[in-house]
Amino acid sequence: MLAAESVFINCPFDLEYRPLLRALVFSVQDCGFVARSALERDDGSEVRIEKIRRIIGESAFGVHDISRTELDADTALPRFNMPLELGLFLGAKYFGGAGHARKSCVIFDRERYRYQTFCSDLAGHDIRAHGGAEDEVIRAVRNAAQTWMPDRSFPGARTMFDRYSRFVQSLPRLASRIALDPDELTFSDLSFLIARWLRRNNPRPPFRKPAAG
Amino acid sequence: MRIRSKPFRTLKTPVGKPDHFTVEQADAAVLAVMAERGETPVLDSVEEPAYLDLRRGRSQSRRKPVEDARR
Repeated sequence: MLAAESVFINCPFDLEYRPLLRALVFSVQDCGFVARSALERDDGSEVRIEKIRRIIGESAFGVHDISRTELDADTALPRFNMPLELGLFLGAKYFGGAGHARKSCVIFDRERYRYQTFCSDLAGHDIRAHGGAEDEVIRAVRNAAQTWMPDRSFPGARTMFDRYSRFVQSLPRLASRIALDPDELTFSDLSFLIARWLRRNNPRPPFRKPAAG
Repeated sequence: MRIRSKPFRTLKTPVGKPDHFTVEQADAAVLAVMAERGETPVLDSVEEPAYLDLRRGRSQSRRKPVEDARR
């Protein structure tokens, strides 16, 4: 896999986050990239941090959502996997040599400056606030993709969100046709279903030759 | 002066395989649901995974053209 095509998605995977995960995967794929995640292959023999390290190594870009860095109700401690994986990604960029120096990423939080209270060393990075809204996630990923690949053109954020909304409306019927519940879709299922849907839904009107004569 | 537009992005195939269905089943489901919704498919262009391109490029470069072998 060529790193230039891969985007490492580092985000929560619980049911509550599912709409934003769908929006992330959809926008990454609609921008012409390959969405990568620690969930993409369920291989019990691969140590999780090794898998994450491998995928980060294979990804030129990343989307990191640290919005779920909050105290657990039972333990009163924060879950810190997402900031840790963001740190691995930044570490690869800074210390990984020439092959990784051009790594770029989008960092999301719920609010723009919230990170300053739990990870102030991130100051200087452009943190995007999504406020839990799918259209904000799509806009930020699409606009970042444009800066990552300035020589390509992409569907507009509005167009992309409209298409995403159509996909989400179709998802319950799509899932039922393959005997699944939309919430049962694994990361691979979701990324393939999005890919096959996108394949049939070109965002541009088809090119028409002017009528002869 | 002719102004050239930037090339439009092309879709990529995801890594691996879906867990619970085949690609053919997904295609059939997409077409059926689009038909139910009165939507018309408009095909987008899809690139083969980059690693396949690399492999093919390597195997082609190793193979000597027939004309060269005769010289």
